[in-house]
Amino acid sequence: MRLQAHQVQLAIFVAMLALITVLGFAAARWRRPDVPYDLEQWGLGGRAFGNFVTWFLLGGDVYTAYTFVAVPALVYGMGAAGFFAVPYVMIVYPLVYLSLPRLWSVAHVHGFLTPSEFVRARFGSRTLALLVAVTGIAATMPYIALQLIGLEAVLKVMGLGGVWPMTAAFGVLAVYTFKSGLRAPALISIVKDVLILWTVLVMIIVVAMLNTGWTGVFRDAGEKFAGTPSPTDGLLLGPTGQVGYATLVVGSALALFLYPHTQTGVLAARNRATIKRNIAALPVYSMMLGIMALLGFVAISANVKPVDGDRNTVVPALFDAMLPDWCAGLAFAAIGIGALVPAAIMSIAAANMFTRSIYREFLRPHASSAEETFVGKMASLLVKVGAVLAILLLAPQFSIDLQLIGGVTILQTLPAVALGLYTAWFHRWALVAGLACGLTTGLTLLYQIPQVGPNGAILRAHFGGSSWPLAKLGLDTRYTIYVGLAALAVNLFVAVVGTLVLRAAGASSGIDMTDRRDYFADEGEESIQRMTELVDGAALHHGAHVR
Amino acid sequence: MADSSPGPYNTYRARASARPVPAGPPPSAPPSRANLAYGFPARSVQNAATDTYRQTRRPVDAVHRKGDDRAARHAVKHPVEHPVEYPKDSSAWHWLLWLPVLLPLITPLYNRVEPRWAGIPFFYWFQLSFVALDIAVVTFVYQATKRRHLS
Repeated sequence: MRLQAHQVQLAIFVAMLALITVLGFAAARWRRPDVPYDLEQWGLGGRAFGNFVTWFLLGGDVYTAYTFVAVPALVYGMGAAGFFAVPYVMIVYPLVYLSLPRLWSVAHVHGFLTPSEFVRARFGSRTLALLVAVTGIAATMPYIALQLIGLEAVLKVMGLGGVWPMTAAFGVLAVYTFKSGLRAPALISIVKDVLILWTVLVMIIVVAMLNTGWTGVFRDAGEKFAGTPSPTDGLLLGPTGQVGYATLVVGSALALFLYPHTQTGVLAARNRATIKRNIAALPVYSMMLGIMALLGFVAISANVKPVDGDRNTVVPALFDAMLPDWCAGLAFAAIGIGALVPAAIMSIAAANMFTRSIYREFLRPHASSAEETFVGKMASLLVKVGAVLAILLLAPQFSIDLQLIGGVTILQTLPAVALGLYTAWFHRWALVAGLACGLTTGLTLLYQIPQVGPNGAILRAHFGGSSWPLAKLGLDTRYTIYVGLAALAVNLFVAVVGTLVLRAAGASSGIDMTDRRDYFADEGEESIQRMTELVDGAALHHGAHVR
Repeated sequence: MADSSPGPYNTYRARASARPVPAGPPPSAPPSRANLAYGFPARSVQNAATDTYRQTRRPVDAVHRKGDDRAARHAVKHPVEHPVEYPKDSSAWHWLLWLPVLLPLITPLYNRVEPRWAGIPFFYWFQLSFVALDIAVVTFVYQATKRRHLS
């Protein structure tokens, strides 16, 4: 019934999906250089993306469908506290302005595709690199599953329930990612961003045309929050919610560029200046996300009810209620494509990690370039199948829990990956111990957090959120803190103390294979020449640098 | 930079041991952290004046093997001075980046409703306005520093 009322939307949605499918396959030929196809071509697009492509790629990478669906849903549910995503995606850019070019340079000089390879070379530890890779893959997998949830929300509003439409869309995605690698999401993200921009502009106009405008929207939202007994919602942060808000912002910002998929987007850039310029321009997306977040209030004011009680459908349902059919169809396509782009990049990132840090490191050290590429492609396929199975077989809540855990776990790779960009002071085993302690702490604290319903009743006993009450430390306070930061503090403490102890005990430290100058090398310099040319004195272009 | 031995890097253990140790301080010199950087000796110090950074370094194998450590320890015993200066990526302007990082974390600054802008409470429009601050600061820092270092 719902489906019959949404034929126009569905037609536009399917047409846009068909368009990006064509683009996805065409991407295999896009900017393809005349060299043998290796993992660097497939998994990083040959490290050749310029300013604009990188901007679209990173925009598609960071601002996922789940973000566009879940952030307004959070604001719809809790008000101000859900707005944390906006400052978080703003402070992250100045925060990483200096470190990402360093990562790019060292990865380019040494031919790294993933942060785990960097850790391997920096600290001379296979174990540490394996741990970083496994943590990265484990944090990425549920993120892919969440993109499916975003896609599902749109399909649900159009009346296409069930798993098959979603699986079909993902199947097409899997095939063109297999064929085109990172070039496919890079090209498709341009379509996605144009659609998102269009949607945001249209919604601004629609709200401006309401009788009471934003004043009315916030009046209605304020009345709704005043009517609930919960102390954590409202148009402003509660007196005890501010520390939790700020720590969540910091923790999420630190974690964002530790995720393998965001690093994939960064490493695919052409040179250091491309990254720096993009960091200056990416906050534009944060503006779009901020306006999308405010739509949560618009949904309250417009009295939009989630479809089937699924709160993630709030924003699609709002589009459905307020926009003309064809316009809503474009908005749905924006979210649907917004799910497919990051899912493709994430699966490529996870596949790169598996291939470089597990397969080639532990299983087949002498794998040829062709074999490596094939393994990478197969791994990306397996990751996507895994994500679909996770959604089909497990409750969606499980993926959301895992995603909550994922943010906390990926943050624990900060000492090795991010601080490693600046110093090799840490001892490899101290970093391993720190990572292990950080992960244990994070999981323990998350386990202790219950989910509290709007009426104060406990809905679930464990994994109910990421704000850990400091009162559990025995402090007489009602402040909460983001679990990830608490775990990171433990992690850093163990790493520092462990390093001092191991140094004092004279334990042999790993050999740093990088040079200080590697962290500043740029495109066009001799240091960035391909390793083949350096070793053999000839431009073989045979990907020996990846061996 | 022609290297006499062909093949992929994972054979460089053999090459490392075959390589003549460049002229440098005597083996009794204390190992220094700076010379450890690659885990093997730099290629050449004689032509330091014309040598670029690239020519002084050797390919690094991403697949680390036991032999690598041996080659690296060899390097510890026979340290050589790096002839090339390190590039600098530091600038006082970089301190400016802390402004857009720290300002949004001071929640008491904006946790209020008034003054509204177009009906939007201060809490929301003030945080959205950080976008302009972000773009302005990062763009300024980029422009101010781009000629001072490599990019």
